[in-house]
Amino acid sequence: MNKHILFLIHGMGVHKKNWADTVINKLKELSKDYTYFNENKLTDLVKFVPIDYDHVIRDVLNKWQEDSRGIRDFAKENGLDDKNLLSWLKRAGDTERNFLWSSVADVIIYRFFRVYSNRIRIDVIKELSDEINSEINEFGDARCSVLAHSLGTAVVHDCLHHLGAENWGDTQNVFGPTHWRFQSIFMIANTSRLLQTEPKAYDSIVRPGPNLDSNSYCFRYLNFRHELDPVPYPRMFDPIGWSSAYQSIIVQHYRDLGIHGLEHYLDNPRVHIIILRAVTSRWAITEQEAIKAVDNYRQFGEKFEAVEKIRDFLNELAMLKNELGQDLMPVDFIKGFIKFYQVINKHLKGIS
Amino acid sequence: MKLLSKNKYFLMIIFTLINLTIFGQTPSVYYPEKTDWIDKDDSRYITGVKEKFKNQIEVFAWGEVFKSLAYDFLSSKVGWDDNLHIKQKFQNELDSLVNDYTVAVEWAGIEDKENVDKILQKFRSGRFQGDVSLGIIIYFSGTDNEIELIPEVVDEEQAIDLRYRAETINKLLNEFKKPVREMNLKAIAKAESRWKNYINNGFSQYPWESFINGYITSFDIQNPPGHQWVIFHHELGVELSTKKIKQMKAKEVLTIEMLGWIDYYGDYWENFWGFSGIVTLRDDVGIGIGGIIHFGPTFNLGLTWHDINDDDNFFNDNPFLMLSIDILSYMNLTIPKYDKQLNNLKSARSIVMLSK
Repeated sequence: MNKHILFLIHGMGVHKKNWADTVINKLKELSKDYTYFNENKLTDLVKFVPIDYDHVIRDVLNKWQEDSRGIRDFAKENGLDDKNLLSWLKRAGDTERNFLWSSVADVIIYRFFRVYSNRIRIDVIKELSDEINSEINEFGDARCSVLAHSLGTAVVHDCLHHLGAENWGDTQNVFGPTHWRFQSIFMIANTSRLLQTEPKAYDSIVRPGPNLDSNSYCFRYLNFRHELDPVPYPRMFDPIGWSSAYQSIIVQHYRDLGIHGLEHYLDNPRVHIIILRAVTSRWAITEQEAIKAVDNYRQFGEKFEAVEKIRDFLNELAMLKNELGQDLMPVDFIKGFIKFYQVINKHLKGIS
Repeated sequence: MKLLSKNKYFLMIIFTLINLTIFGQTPSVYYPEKTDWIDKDDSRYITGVKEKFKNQIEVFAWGEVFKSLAYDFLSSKVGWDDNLHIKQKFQNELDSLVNDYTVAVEWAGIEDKENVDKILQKFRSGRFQGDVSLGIIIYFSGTDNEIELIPEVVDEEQAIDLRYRAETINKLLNEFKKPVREMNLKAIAKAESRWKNYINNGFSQYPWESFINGYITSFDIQNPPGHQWVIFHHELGVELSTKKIKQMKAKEVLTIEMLGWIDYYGDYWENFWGFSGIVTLRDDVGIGIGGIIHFGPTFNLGLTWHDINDDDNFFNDNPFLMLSIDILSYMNLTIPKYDKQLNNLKSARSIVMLSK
């Protein structure tokens, strides 16, 4: 029997062929907290298929850099002022220490350079359809879900719409929603509305619905957003009137300064439990395990661990203040003062 | 009777819960990802069904196959008496499948491999794809015939019965659709090749060119732009003076194609030709103006005029032959080897006529 296929689509920035290793390892590591996955390896149940579209953008940027290099060299050799002569393309293809070209340019190219966004889309569509077809040929059917992050959510939205709605080869589209659909779509830090072109994010078929519904393309759509992640905030994806198969989950945890990062989102049980259950089974994580994981997951941890400790310290000071009250005998005041220093000493090491 | 069936249902739940308590595990048939419940020799399994209907499948008599499978469920050997409404739901969907297929074939006219595309215009074939997005199997989700494959709804034998049949039919439907799926894939591959050729092998574009072309040319996901504007396009080239052939000198120049037009042809956008108005910059004879034609990525040939004698008239001096660096490197042209190369070119008949 075939495994559940989970397509992984990355966001902006440089992504090499093995970009998904850290994401897959993160999910594997998280799954080990649940008993079922100690007897059933996650990778025995789920086939992770990373989709890489970054190479299209890198090729474009490298070409711009190369095309301009000869011109700039010529200008130099011939005493021409090369400051404005394509000098701004000098580092277009560099991936090290080059946030503007290695990350920001991805978003600008995808959103505003329509010829390149179509090139990216057809590349991704081919990878998706080839994988689905290969699965059907081997096992008779394909159960597929998609996990996308940041810029990848906009890419995936556009690609899934085209994959399902286009008349490929002027024939009926058997990848279309009345013949086949995706199981779940997980959108993390969703920018599909922020970066939308045509079709608009709320008007496409990329929404949940039942079998045979030609206006929907998945059974379930889950939207994850961090409360302070600035990326999905402008033109937030927040549809009204969609079915109950659409869910929006806002997370509020802090483990790292990079709160936009995919692994940071996955770390939260309210994110990874949903994903793991959806690609395996409801019983893979019991209700008790889920409740315990969510209850025990503290809001602040790792790099933000001190925040929890400071909060505990402040709570204890507040309690002490309430105990002291207004009218104190001198002896009680001294006792309270000693207790105050004990509280400080108790928390001092932990916080620093 | 109602009370008896209610009690039976209640007992079934109690039995399942006891089973779970004693054995601590939900039977594997309910898990979407588990396959150990499957007996490949079971007549309901895909292999047995395909073998049984081998002849019909061979002659593309799919309608007969679906009818037989729908009829077969009526006489299922599994005990459904305590869950007739679930059985009815599944039967309803089987009957709808048969009915929809029959209507589609009647409309399409013929039931054969070449006509699958037409049949699919009226036949929605995704009916038996199970929804596993909640970590359980749901058939016909969101419809009146929705069935959740969980212990509280169907017992283990009933779950096995439904799962065999639904998965078999779904796989058969995927096989039925295969000719059209292959056509879809071919179209996607073709679109990808076209876009790859356009971006990677087409006439190169600087950022402003690709930005502008993205808004003023027409294209779609299957067809890249058939034309491309060339706008302020920088290139290196070589100019050859034509005053005296034996004294021809070559000089590297900066060429700016001010405005031009490229046309793509070939089913995969594998070829292009075009032309541009150009300005060339060189330090010895000043600015040149002229035109260039392009044939594919390698062959670029043009003529430019410079105001050599400084009389504000560009066109009363001999023109320069303009070649791209690509064609130059192809010709391996250097001054000492010029005569030999010129003879080679003449014999190959690959050079454009030079004007005086």
